[in-house]
This record gives sequence, C-alpha cells and structure tokens, in this order.
Amino acid sequence: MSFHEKSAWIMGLLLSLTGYWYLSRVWAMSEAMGETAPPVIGLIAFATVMLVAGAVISHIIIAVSNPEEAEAEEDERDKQVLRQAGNVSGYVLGFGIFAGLWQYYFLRDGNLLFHICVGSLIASQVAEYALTIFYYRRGV
Amino acid sequence: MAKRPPISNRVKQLRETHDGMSQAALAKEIGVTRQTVIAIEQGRYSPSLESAFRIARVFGVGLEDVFSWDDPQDS
Repeated sequence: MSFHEKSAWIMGLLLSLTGYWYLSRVWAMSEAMGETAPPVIGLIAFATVMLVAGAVISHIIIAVSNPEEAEAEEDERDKQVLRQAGNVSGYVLGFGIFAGLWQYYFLRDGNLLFHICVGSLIASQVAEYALTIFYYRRGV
Repeated sequence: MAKRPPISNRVKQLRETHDGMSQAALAKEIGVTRQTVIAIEQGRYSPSLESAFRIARVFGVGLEDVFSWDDPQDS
C-alpha cells in the first residue's frame, strides 16, 4: 500500500469520526433548542484541533514506518488518482452548497445554511479519500 | 470509472528474464513508485507514453514487445 493510500485511509477515518462527532453535537443542540442551533466556533475549533493533531500524529507514524516511501514524490499514477478523486469530490461539494443555497432561498435559515456548508465540506473530503482508495485499488 | 483499455503487457516476464529484476529496481529506473509497477503488471494502470518508452528501453526492446492491444476488432 502506497503512502498516499495509507494517508487516505487515515484521513478518511479521522474526518469521518470528527465529522460525525461535530454534526451529532449540532443535531443534539438543535433538538434541545427546538430550532437549528447557531454555529458554535468553540465546537468547530475543537474538532479542527483534534483532526489536525490526529493527522499529524498518524502521518508521523506512517512516515517513520517507511521513510523512503514517505519522502518519495508523487508519480504519474499518484497524480492521476488524486486529480480524479479531487474532481469527483468537487461535485459532492458543489451539490451540497447548491442544496444549502436553495434551502436558504425557501426557508431563510442561515444557521442551517452554515451547517449544510460544513457538512458538505466534510462529505466532499470523505468522498475524496474514499475515491482515492478506490482508484488506487481498482485502477484509474 | 472508465472501461479499461484492452492493453496487456509483458513487464513481469521481461523482469524475470532480466536477471529477475525487482519491481523496486524497475520502478527506480523509470521514475515511478513500486506500487505503480505492480499496478502496471496487474493491468490496473496504463502508463504514460513516456513511462512505456522508458520500460521498453530498460529491457532493450521495442514498445510493442512490452505492450500489446488485445482487441481483435481494432487490430
């Protein structure tokens, strides 16, 4: 398994867990308030710090386990896989933002727009990692 | 995902006939990772024209001695 594939597995897992934690907290807050909860910067900051810390620690571990592979530059296949995965994940992000905008147009709920945008960012990144793994395994 | 082109290759056989050249050694020669050589051998990745020529040059053979188009309708 290449360094990029290992990285995609780790980041996909970390982001899925962090994203689930964040969105479940927002959901619980919204249910308690009886309306869409406003964005809580502290919650976002905590989730971001946890994600970055997890990413740094895990990447240090996989780099130490195989330094030669970690230092190698992306080759033509890596670039093709990452470009294709990034391209498709862009559609996921675009769809989410588009849905959020229409929601705002009809419901005028700015808080929900914010959460949909954050959710779309998370979903598009998770999709990018999942597709990276898929293309590495199945071919591009 | 696009349908895979009907391209086959003899990279593995050529490696074996060249003193059992390792995948890592071939990867280093042509400037890709070992995983990419594995993907080429398994038919999961079609290399760029540049890499295809590099592979052929490493083994001292022509391009069509390494790669072949297997669709009988297009031959």
